[in-house]
Parts: sequence; structure tokens; C-alpha cells
Amino acid sequence: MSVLVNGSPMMEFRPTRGLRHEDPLAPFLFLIVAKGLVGLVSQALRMNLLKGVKVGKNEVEISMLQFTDNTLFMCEDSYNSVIFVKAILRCYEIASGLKIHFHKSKLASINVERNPLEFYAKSLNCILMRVPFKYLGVVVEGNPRNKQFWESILNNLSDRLSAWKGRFLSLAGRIHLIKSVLNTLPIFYSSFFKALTSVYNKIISIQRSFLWAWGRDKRSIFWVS
Amino acid sequence: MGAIYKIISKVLSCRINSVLPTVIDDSQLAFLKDRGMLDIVLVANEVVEELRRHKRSELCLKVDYEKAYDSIR
Repeated sequence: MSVLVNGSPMMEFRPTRGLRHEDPLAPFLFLIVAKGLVGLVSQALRMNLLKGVKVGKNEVEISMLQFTDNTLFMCEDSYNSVIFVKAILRCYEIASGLKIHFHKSKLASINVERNPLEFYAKSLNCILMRVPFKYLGVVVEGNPRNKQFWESILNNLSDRLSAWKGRFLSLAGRIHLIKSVLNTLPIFYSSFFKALTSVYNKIISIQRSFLWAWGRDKRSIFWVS
Repeated sequence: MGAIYKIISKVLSCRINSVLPTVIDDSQLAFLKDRGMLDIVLVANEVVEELRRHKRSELCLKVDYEKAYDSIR
């Protein structure tokens, strides 16, 4: 490899690697590698080996969604597609050095019968998951008017609390934790879904009881409402 | 040495940043300007909802990588 300086090539050098921690380049390099997978998939689409999902009036074809390493494949319900996804992933695995946990990957289905689905999962070596599934921490295709939908968020909040319990935090420290963690989790969710009033009240009560009672169940006085 | 390294990598990343959005496909929504995490979840939600409404059968595979950032060759 060499660099052109004012139009003339400089001395050749061999590219090596070595990024330090918190290098601003790292995410971009990751994107470039992830682009390899996109290339493989779009080639497969072009050769009609794999069929994505066509949605909307304009029939936009969606075959995969990526947020860094969180990849979601969407393909039609056929054994060929499944085998091709597997082949693509395997090629990508060998080429990029990324390891893919097939046994931790999850297969969801929409309107697919049980028997073929189990067969697909077996050939991919992966787990089945039910359709209101979590992607990037957000429940996909859940019903936000359902109380159960919000249960996971509330559980998430109280799980955080249990880790903090018994720590000797000052009032200011607790306020800071509430502001930075207990507040941001619900905000992330409510940027998508309209929260139920009861859920909203529950979140506030969790925050208050953490602030004034250290998250204990014991009753104590809430000095400011 | 550390300072020079930082300056060079920052310069490189700024220059890459201006080119990357044209290079990287629309299906990747991380780290780039004007693309957010919420977009992708919205797309996933809408697709699944539409498929359900039209009763079309489709498969979704969520892939799990091991140590994604550390293991690129």
C-alpha cells in the first residue's frame, strides 16, 4: 500500500493493525467489516438465491437490519432461504473472523407452522423465540396497551435497584442515580410507546421509594412529594 | 507518541466520517450521522406488523456474535 502525495506515490508500506482503546476509528472500521455481510446478502438477493420481505406500496425489500453487531435477518419462509442465510453467515464468519453463536441466535416466525419451523431451527442450530421478541432492548410487535408489555421494563428497573441496595449512598448520589439510570430507561421506551398511566405512576413510585427509603419495602416518610 | 496517535486517528475518523454514509448501506444504522437506533426498531416493528396483518409467513433470525468488536481480523 502507498499514499499519493501531490499525485506521486510515496514509499510503500505494509498495513498492520493495532488500535488502542477508545480509538475514534474503531466504530467506523467495524462498520466497514459489517458492510461485508451486507455485500454478501445483496449479492444473494441479486442472484435470486435469497428473498427478503417486501413491504409497503412500493414493495421495499428488506432482508436484514443491522445496528452494529445486532443483526436481524428477514427472509421468506422456505428451506432454501434458511440454508442460504446459514451459508452467508458461515462465509462471513470465515472471512471476517467474527464468531457467530448459532446456538445463541434466535429464530422467530410470523405465520409459520410449527413443524417446518422446528426443522429450520434444527438446521440452523438455533433457538426458537416467540413473536413479541426483544430487539435492541425494545419489544417488537408487543401491545403497549397491555400491562404485561410494561412488566419487563418495571422488572428491569427493580433489578437495577436490587444491585444498589445496601450501598451507602448519599442523598445526592441517589438523586444522581435516579436521574441517570432510573429516568433514562423509561424515556427510551416511551420514545416508542405511549406508557400507561398506571405504569408511569409505578415508575415514579419506584424512584421515590429509592430516593427516600433506599429501595426498602419499609414505609418511610417522603419528605418532598 | 500518544498525542500524535490520537491526532492521527481523529483526523482519519473525521475524514472517513464524511465518506462513510455514502458507502455504507441503509440497512446499517449505527454510528453514522442522521441514523439512529430508534429508526431500526421502528422498521422492525412496522415490518412485523404489516406481515401479521397480511397473514404472510416470514422468518426472522436474530444473530448473536461472540465478542463482536475484539475478534475482527
